[in-house]
Amino acid sequence: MTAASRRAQILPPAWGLLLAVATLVATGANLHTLGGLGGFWPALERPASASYETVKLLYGFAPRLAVSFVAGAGLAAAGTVMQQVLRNPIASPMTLGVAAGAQLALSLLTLLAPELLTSLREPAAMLGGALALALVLALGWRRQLDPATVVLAGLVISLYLGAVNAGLLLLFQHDLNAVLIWGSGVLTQHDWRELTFLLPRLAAGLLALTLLQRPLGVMTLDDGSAHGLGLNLPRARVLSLAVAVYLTACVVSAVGVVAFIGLAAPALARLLGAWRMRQRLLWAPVLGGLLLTLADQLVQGLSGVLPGLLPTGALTALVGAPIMLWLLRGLHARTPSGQGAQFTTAPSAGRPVLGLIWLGLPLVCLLAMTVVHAPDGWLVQAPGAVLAQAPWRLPRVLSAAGAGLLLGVAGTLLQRLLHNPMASPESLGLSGGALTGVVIATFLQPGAGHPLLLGAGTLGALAVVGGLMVFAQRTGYAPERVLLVGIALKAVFDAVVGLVAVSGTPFWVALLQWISGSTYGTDWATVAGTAGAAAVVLPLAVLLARWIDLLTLGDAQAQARGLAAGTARGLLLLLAALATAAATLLVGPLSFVGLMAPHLASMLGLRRPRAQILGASGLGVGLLVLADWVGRAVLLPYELPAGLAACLIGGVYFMWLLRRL
Amino acid sequence: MKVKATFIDFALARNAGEREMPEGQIGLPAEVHPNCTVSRGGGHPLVPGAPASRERLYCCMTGIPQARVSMRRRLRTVAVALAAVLLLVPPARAGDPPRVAAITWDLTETLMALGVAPVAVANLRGYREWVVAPELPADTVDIGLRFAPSLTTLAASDPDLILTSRFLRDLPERLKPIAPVEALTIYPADGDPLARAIEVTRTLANRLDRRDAFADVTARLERQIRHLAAKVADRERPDQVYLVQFQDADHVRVYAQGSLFQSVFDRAGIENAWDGATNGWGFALIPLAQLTASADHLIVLEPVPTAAAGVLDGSPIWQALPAVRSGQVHRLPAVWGAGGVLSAIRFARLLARHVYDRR
Repeated sequence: MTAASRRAQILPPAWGLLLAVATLVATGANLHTLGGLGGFWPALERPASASYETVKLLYGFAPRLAVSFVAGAGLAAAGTVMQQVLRNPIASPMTLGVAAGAQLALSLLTLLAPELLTSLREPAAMLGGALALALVLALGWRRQLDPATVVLAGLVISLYLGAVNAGLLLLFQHDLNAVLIWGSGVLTQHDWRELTFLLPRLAAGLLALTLLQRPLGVMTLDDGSAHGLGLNLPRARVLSLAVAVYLTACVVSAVGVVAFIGLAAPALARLLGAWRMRQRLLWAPVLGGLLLTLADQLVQGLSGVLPGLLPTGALTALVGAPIMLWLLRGLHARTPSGQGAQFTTAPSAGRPVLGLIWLGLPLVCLLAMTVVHAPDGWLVQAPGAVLAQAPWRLPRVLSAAGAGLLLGVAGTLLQRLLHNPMASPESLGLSGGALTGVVIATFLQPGAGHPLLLGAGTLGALAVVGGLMVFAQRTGYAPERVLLVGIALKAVFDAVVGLVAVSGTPFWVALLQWISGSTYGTDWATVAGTAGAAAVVLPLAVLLARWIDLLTLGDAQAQARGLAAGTARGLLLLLAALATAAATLLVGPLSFVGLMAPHLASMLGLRRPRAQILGASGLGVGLLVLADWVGRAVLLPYELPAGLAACLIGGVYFMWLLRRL
Repeated sequence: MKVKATFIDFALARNAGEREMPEGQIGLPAEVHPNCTVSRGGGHPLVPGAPASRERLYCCMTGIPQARVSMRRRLRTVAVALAAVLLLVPPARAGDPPRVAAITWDLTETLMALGVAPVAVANLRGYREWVVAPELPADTVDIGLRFAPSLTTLAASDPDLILTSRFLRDLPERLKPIAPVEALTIYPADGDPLARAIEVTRTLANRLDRRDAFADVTARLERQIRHLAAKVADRERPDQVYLVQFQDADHVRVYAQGSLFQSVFDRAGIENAWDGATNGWGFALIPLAQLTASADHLIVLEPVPTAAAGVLDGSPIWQALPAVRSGQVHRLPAVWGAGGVLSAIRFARLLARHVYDRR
């Protein structure tokens, strides 16, 4: 037995033990606060006469403890399977849109048939999750469920369903309070129903995974080799994914969206040395269960001290992210390599396509300025009326255009630099940083004006960029690690936003408006800001496009041609960060545009860096201007934010393109 | 016969003022206003297709004096034709209710308290479901979300005055081109929301010249609270009351310091059993199990979501709640927690009827 494999057997139990001890200590402390176990047995015999503290222990604390462990275990098992099947270290139950699908299903049920909510909650969430997965698989089917395609499809569906849900939250704020609480992952229990629901389903899921152990273990092989071993990989993938989704949907429908556990626990298990599938299927759930229990116990401890409701789902990130960041330092490219950013077989194109894109933009802007939806119908406005409304319409169109341009550039740079199709301003946590800054500013100074919010947002985004660059420099910009750090950071920011969401403050709606990317609040000062940022970012990116060409060849090749690879990558990353921050602050974190515009450009054949940057920025402009116009007009008098509308328009188009590949 | 003319500055897209004038002058744009080059009746010029308003004439100013005679003559022809149309439109009557748009629900309610029905309200569907009373006229225009009201629709509803709240940030600036804006803020209330609501109602009554209605509604409020206080005072010690609203099966909003309900409690001599922190709207979102104090009354404010109905029927933890064991549980019809004077009257009346009407 080698030293490494011995380590693999000893370390996970040791770390698991440490986690278990921490969890026990936290649980014990909370139990002590609740008055201990003294009245427990008498209460079981005669519940009617038991003291309130005892009843609370029996029907509140105890089921919550059990549910948190079981839910954590289920998410971790699902995450392990997904990471293995998709050969992607950052895949998680959330990546396939299952959580988003379940959440949307519940929102719709709440709005359409609230009287069925009690009886149909679990089936509806499961159906929503399963439909989302089916859609993801359908999109990836033509390419034999190629991991990169599936992850991309999952991400798109996730964003799409999330956007629809955010729209519903905006429009039906008061009707969806329950969905908001559930969606943030609050583990409050007042009886044993959730546990009796979860336990048998989870057991069945884990049993199925044990049976699928062997095909899961060889999934790192390519399809041909696996075929040689007599295994049908595509079928095994579908089966394993189905089980993982079943597990996720059960957990999600019972306790809501608890992020990070499904991502962190499998990664932890792997980092702690569990390499074989059997080990991972055993240790990831244990670690996941402990992780969620620990987080939940800490939340309960804090609830006594802090005002308001603390969602465990938001706080799992706060507990999990630092552990994750710390562990990532020791990760020496052991993870399977990320999939390349190559999606397309379209022939390379150049000037004609670029020309068409940029010539089309004035037409889009003209449409956005002149065609309006008035209370009694659609009409094309006369020039005089267009001029008259320009003071409040033109800034919106222009800021949407500027933000689209910036996001197109940022997205292209990030995807190129990280060789990762999932890279986008939002997945790296930059938009989250800006958001957090704004949220904190809003809380500290409720009446804060636009300039203060702008400043706070910029600081937040720059803090993330700084942290990302320090970390990335130490690890040599390995693509997966940068992305993992970004995701860890984003989870932290999501936590902050989640906290505001359930605090019950009506400011949440203003925040949601902003998060969804509304251009409603823009004025001429903001437009000037965007124009300035765009005037710096676009020429620089085009000038530096050659660096990307060189970096694509590999660092050694780039060095040989006289490019300091590390510095060049750092500078380009900084440029992308600046573009993201500027765009986010103007029209919210519209990650979909930053993700999509580069893909679209590449699909249209603009694959050289310079052409892709120019194409993506043009497409970003068109997309956001169009989105802003649709959002303003389509539901009159209710306005949908541009970012949300961008998701709704762009998402469908993108799925269609993906399907055609 | 006089007609009200509104002057719209086309270049700046804002109201440049209005005045009443004899109908005979309408055909003479240049005499009506020095810079008036185009005049037409009917819809709002900034919003083509907007429905014609009853008694108005819109005059559009370009800011550039028109010199060419031929143009002026052509315009005069158009204007004379328009004047003919205007003869068919009923003229403005003195004492017509002012056309006011309200962005927030507390101000909508305050308007209604003064006997003025708003022409436009944000999130009308939500108002009808959550504020319930007072009912708004069927032809009230919905202008969309509070944080992003549709300027197109708002302008088309043709208000003389727009009421908004300061918590909507820079929204007032954005609305000014359409009509004068009055920012009146009840929430978030630092101290006593009802006192703030009364103050806001007084300000609005002065502005709209509805001082009688203001006196009426404050008198009704005083009467209703005296009535409630008299019933409460029957008890030998102050009542301890929890006021909660279920959000889902496990969580409630508990209303306390900073809410309109607390203002009524304070005036009627009722003590709130919840002494924890609350937000700017006077409630805290908490797990049900945190209602640990014993209380005389546990009031459940409707609507109760279906998910929570089972809890009220007797979940173990609900039955064990000290307030449920020791006190009485009541259900109260919906009242808007962030409302104004009318909501306070309604709350006091419902409290007296559903909670304190013993015997």
